[in-house]
Amino acid sequence: MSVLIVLIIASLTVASGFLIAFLWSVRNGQYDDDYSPSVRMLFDDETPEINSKVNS
Amino acid sequence: MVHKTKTVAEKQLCYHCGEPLCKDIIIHDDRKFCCEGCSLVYDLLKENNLCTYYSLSQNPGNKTETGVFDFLNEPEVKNKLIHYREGSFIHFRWRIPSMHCSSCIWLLEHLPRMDSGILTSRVDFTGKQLTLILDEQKTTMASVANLITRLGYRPLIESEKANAVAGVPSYKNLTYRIGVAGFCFANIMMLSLPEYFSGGSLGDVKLERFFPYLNLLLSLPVFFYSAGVFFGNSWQGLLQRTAVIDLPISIGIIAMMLRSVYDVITAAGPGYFDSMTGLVFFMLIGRKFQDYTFDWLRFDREFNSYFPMAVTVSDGGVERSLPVEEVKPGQIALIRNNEIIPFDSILREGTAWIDYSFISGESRLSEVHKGETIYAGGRQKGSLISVMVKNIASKKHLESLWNLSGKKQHQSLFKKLTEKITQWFMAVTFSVATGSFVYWQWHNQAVAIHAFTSVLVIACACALLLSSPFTFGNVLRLLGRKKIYLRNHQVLEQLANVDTIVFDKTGTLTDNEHPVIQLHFDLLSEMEMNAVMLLLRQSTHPLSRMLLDRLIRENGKRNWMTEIKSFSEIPGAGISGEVDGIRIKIGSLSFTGRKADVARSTSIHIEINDEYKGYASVGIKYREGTKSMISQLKKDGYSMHLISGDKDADREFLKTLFGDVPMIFEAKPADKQQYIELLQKQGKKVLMMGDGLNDTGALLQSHAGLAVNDSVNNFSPSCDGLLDSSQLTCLPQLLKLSKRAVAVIHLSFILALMYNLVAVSVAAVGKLTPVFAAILMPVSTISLVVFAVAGSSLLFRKLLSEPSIR
Repeated sequence: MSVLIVLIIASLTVASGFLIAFLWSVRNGQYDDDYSPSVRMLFDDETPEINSKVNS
Repeated sequence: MVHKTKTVAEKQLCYHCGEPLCKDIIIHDDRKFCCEGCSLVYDLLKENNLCTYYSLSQNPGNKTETGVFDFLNEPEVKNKLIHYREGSFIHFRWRIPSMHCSSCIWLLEHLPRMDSGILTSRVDFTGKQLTLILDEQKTTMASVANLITRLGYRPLIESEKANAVAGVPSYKNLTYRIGVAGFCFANIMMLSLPEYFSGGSLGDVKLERFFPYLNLLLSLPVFFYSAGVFFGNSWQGLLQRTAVIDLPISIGIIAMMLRSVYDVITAAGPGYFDSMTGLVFFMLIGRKFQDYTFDWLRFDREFNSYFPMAVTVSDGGVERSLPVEEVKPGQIALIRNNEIIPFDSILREGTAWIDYSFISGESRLSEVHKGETIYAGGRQKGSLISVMVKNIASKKHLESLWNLSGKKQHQSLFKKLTEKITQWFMAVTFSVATGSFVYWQWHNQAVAIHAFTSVLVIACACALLLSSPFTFGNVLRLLGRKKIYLRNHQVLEQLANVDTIVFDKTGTLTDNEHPVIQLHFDLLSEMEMNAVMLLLRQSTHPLSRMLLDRLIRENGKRNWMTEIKSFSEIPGAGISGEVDGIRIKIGSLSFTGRKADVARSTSIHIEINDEYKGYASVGIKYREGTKSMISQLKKDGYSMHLISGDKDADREFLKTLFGDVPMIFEAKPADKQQYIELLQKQGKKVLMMGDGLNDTGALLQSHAGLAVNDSVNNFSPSCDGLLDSSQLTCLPQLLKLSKRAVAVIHLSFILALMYNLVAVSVAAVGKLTPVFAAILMPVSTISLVVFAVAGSSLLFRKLLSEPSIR
């Protein structure tokens, strides 16, 4: 059963990696603004089509 | 049929700002706009290929505003705002309260297209902030401020210091703690599961020893780091000799930890690590929710941001901006339309119209002649005036004008209640624990210590801690959607206890932003009307502006090209001129040379070709639904009072609204505060409804002070809550809601006590096992949270979604 102990330690190591990643992302400010990134990703780069429509 | 066309007309909205269109529509580029401002912004955006703005959401624009940002060119002012500088590149951050949709984000982030000096602009929507990087060689801060103000996003310029205070370091701190607690809790749960299912023996000695020690190791960060919040708060409470609600939680956590360590070391059992970490995790989430609810309601903006940061000073003919603090007496300052005058000063020339409504509550403008004193805190209406600075008023002095000194003395009743419950709870827990200890000493000594610690472990004040933030937090969040913003949950519970309501009149019951202008003159011919409007257009006097707006709305725009002959404006009297051979005089009664008997309200008289044509009166409209609101409040048994800084011109009308209630007129801010104090001395619980400008003292003095505001984004004075003016009529429902919310909390207290009763009795007889604790604790916590949130949401839906209230 001692293989279980090894496995648990391994899994804990992996999990703490995620914990560190989480703490790092909070520190980085990724949770500061939870609205604008969701909108920002939907903004298209202006296509020439829209430009011509506006200019006409 | 007529009716039908009307509704169609109502549905037409301005392409830019979404305001319903009235008679005077500007059709430009096949699109309809409500005003010149909106169509100009459209042009500006179109020029820069930024019309995507309109496709992202419908009618996204704000009304354009004007602002003077010359003071941003002053190095002293500017340096206060910049928080990073690199060569000619400057980084700074502005708050933009009017951003409200995805189009706003898009436009504000595409600013570099309109001004090549802007390197990047980045929106923080949650904080309503815009971070900009400028190249000072290509553009200036002032011109960027002007640009975004023209687009309708007037920045709220605060110095960087103020921004730093508004920052949210505590929120990150809490998130770290939750992350750590969640990680440890989840892993401890995993490691504890085999124990639960196998009924205590795993059949492997090594594993049986390994799991508890690993759990102990994992619980250390939770105990020493995550739970630190509770320990810190309880310690603070103990220092002040009060039993804060964190105290029983801290005791529970410490008891669980010690007991578990003892169990593990003596190999007596697996310990209560799972319950302990779970408790900390859930409690922290509760706290996070509480913070989250209040985070976006930033009430810390006080008067400072309302004052001008700088004024224009004329120095031997050269105009420059100076920070207000550096202005010296004797200097000559120029005050533009709508600027607040931050010092006592003497008017040098002409006539000024000063709006003292902030200070005195008088909504009528006061007329100041050359050589007379203008007091600090007044707001100039009309054209540019030049004044000589007399006394420098410190910001402190300006604040004292609003009588901010009176601080709230009364403590939250609810706080007292929870304090009481906490004390009571701890007393009972400890006596039950010692009681069972003593009992088992006589009967079975082996169980005694077990029973004693078990009671401390399982007795959980968490329900007490969670039910109020979740119920109130949820209600506040929902109210926020209705444009009712309360400072915190204590306000809600103060509202529940109110029995007396004091209303301020000006700005609260009346709608100052949209005055009613009644026309009392004979029908004018097309030519005459044209001439009158043309003449009015020349004047900067606020009354002329109001009348002109009204006439434009009624008759549409005119051809402004016609020439005016012999135009003259006599300050404080009126204007005269000749258009197409029509001689016109517009102004005060004496100016037109009449002695007619006219109502007391402000009026503008018109004379054409020496013939008196009549007058237009400017009246103040009461907000819609006021009457029904008041009768509803009366029905609910509140006693009402009315207090106003105005003259008693409206007394009769108010009587029809309120019936026979105490009314006080011509009250200064200090009088209002004293009046509230007097009522409180009579043992009344007073709710003050004010506009938050000239009644701040009263708002602070009252048990609960709500400010009614036309635009909630613009100004947040030191009140307990803000109501959008359209929601004023919701007041009876709001009061009812607060009462019910308190009832929900009481119910959840009872529920929590029942859980505790069961748990403590199991513990006292010495039957408590870690599995039982691990199941009961989350079940009780979660069920209570669900009860609180669901209960309050249901209440809210029932009370505030009725169709009668919009």
